[in-house]
Amino acid sequence: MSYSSILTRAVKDGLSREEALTLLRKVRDWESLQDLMRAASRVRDEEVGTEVKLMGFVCSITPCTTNPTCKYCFRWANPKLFSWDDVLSDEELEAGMKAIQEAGLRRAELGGGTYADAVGRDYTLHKLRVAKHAVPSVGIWVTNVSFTQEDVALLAPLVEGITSNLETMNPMTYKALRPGSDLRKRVEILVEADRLGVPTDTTLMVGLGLGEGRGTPPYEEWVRFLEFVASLKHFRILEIHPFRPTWGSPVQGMEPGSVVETLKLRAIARLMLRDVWLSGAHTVEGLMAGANLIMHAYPITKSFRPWGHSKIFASRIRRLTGDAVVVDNLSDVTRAAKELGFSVEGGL
Amino acid sequence: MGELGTLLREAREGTLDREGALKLLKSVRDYSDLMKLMSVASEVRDECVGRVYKLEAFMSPITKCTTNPPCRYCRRSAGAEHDPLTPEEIRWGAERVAATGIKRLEIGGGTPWGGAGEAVINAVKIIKKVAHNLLIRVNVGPALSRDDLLKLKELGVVEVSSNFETMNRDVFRRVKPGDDLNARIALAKMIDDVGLKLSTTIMVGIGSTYEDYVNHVFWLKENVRNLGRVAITVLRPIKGTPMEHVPAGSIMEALKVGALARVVLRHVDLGFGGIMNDHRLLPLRIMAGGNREVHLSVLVTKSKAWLRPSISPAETEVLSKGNLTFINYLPLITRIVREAGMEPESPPTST
Repeated sequence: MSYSSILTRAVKDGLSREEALTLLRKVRDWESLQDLMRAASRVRDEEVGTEVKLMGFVCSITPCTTNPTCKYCFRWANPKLFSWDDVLSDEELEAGMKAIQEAGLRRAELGGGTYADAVGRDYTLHKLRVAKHAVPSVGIWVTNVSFTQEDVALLAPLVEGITSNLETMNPMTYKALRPGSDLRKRVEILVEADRLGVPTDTTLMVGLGLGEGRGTPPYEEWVRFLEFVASLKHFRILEIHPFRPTWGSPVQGMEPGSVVETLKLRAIARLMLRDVWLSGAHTVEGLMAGANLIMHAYPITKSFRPWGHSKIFASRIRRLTGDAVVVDNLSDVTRAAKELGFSVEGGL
Repeated sequence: MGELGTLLREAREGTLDREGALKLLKSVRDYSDLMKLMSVASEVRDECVGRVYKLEAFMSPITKCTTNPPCRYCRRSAGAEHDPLTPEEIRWGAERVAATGIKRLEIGGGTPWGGAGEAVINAVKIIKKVAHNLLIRVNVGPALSRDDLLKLKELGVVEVSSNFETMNRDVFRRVKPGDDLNARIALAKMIDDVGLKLSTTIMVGIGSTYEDYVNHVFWLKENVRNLGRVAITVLRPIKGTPMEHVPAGSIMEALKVGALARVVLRHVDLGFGGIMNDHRLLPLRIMAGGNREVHLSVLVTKSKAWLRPSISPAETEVLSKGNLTFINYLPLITRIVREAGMEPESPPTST
């Protein structure tokens, strides 16, 4: 079957595994890429509309105790990241959540390192209570994975959704690059949250573990990943982005993930998962590939790492309280969407 | 077929006139229409210049700018200035560039209003001695005489730049108060007259209107016989300049103007610059009809602004000579070009 006939059918009926694989293999130039993106955009418009969603960002609520450190972690470039120096105090977190609410955002992810064991879970629950108490109307997505499958029920009343970033579902790649982390536990969190009816979020990283010279992307792996998230009834957010070899890390010699394969996979995810919220809507090319969600809006962090502050665009850093700052990037991250004819959630 | 459909058909066939071009820019208001326009631009690119993506190295500065006051978006207005490369540095840079296998080289610098002929001719002689096959483009602004151009042509230079950025005189005066549009137009005509190819730029984000873009593109179509390259540059507000708080140019508008340039000018090389000098935007540049880059693949420069090692350490080669840096991103750039279905003009021979 040709890719064009698959696309025609996919707009209406979705994609089978074989069709997704065929598209990944056959889309190899600008024309077919545009056709694929056009189909994905049409499905996005029909399934979730042309209003782009926003996700605020607060980081960090916990330090990372993962040992050994994941091989591509930003901590290799800056050891202060996800250390206790990076963790917002209760007052800073409260001020951050209020700032997010005042900015008109409806939800925010609370990120941080994986703080292991019961102490990490209890610390996470405490931070979630602080955030929830500060602004009950802002939906919280917890992304620090400092808890296990058994703890999901404890978190559920405090959150709108739970993030468990897998990056890859290839156990060998995962073990090689994240030797201190446990893929099975992360999968179990998603499954348990889904069983309890809690919306979920995960990330697929394009190019992770490919390594120099390996060439052919692991299309079967990616499609299996998409099939897994499609099996979750309450799955809501999929983030797909290219692997970035962190400077100074053990993987700095690996090639970064492909920007073209990322666009292909986003579009195919849209065709397969239909009404999922797909990240990447802060860029022209992401929107064309079917994205409808802007992550990391209005990020709140410690002052040493104003998140995503752009030297190009007009984002401004504003101090909140203590050592917490916000990067007011709302006009930057929503610009492409507005120019391309989308509305932005909350009229922002 | 609606009005946009008719305009796109005219764009595809090469019959779009000024009025149609203006309507086209005004009609494309969302992603769906933009993708239609980009498809047409890509088809025209494939038909008129093929699916080879041209790669051009960049060596700078060859000359020192004396524009006073400096252009308001330029790094010079924030106090950044570098001495021109010495003959030994030019030789070293040319050897490194040639070793990559790339075919093209832009030698650029500021505009010395007293004349740049001697400096440029000397630089070209040095480069030709170590890499005589390199296709050289000279980009130093209106500081070259007719004799200089003839001499450069004799030395084998193929293309010379005269960048207008805008042909709206009010906008030009506002953002380039120390510059002279008439001198740039005169240089462009002289380049054309002596049989060299003209390279020129249209800048998005400095206040030009759709009418300005259309007038600019059609002026080039109607007045230049040997138009080699048009680049759509997109304002990058630089900290410390008078324009640091002006919003960056719009990528969507740049894609529209680029696609328009492709469907009107047809056989020229089309590039993008400014904030679109980002490898992540290469697929968009290609989808909008682009077929040439500079500032992305190979650089010899004294400015650290071009050094972005975190992009892909495995695919980046960096060498230094004093405060001069050679940067080679060719493996990354050629990979993306191939993934988008085009053939890079000069595959790397070494990294």
